[in-house]
Amino acid sequence: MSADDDALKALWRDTPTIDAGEVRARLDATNRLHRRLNQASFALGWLAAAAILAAEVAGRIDTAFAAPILVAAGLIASWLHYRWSKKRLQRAFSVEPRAMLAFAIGRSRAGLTLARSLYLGLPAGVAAGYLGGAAAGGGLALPDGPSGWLLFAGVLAGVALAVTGGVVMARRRAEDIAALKARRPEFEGAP
Amino acid sequence: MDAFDRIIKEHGAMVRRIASSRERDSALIDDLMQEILLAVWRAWPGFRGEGSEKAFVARIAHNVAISHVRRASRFKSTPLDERTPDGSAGPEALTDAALQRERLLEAVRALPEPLREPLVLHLEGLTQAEIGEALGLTATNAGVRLTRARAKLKEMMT
Repeated sequence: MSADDDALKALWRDTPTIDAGEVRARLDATNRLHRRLNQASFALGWLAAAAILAAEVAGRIDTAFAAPILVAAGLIASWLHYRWSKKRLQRAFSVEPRAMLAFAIGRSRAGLTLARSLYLGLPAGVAAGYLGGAAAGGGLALPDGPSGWLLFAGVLAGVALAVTGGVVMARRRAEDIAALKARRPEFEGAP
Repeated sequence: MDAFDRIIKEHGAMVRRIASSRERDSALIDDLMQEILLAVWRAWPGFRGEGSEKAFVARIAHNVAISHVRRASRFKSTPLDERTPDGSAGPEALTDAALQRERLLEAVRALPEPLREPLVLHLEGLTQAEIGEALGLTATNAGVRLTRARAKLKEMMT
């Protein structure tokens, strides 16, 4: 290589060294945060499933145990999907750039679909379930007793949280898709 | 010290420079660097030692950088030339070196993606074969891109 090339390399690498200990500590903290968030989400999900099951056993709701089974199945499916995407992401690191870009766009699209189902699908499902139950039971039923109201308030709070989270997430994923798509021409022009 | 500590120690500076070739804002550079290192951590069990470790880390850095989406920083940015320079040079040389480095970084950032990556890895000291390995290209293709990138960089720096 030429002297110019060597000088350029020396200039490029002439940057302050990083503090490996500090970087490691930050990575550990991020990993811990991710783990705790996942654990907390699953714990909340199982808590909700247990509450629905308890309400079903006590006779406050009557879905022939379909509701707790559906929630539990959803949680198991989410856990399996989480494990699968983690492995898929690991494999994605070894693909070539255009495939990586396509993968990243696909991942953001999946996130957008999930976000839409949170802010549109979930409230629509809850409303349809409530109205369907009301139609089958002969009228709109209000919760019975303090524990019924507590469950009702919990469901409403959960739906509100999911809608808010879904809207924020959808906006972010839509931005991601637009930004990633804008990068396509750079790769299409590759020799 | 475990394997990952060693990777950070040996390749952390390279990862930071790769992140700097894509982002200008220091907080965003840190975010991207962290994202890359987390990906290296997760992918590390899949490394079979078939190629060079540096090329493996570079490939992950490259792939994470592709999917990384620029976000507005929550922190105040620090211009690159305000960071701690190499303490071995005199004050004038320091300013000059920092300015030259900044010019080089700006020129590298301005290169189109297919040319930027091979050049960055070349500047990091990877061979053409390793660059090909890292970017999923043949060594010849990596060489072609590198030649174009160097010509373009020369044009931009003069």
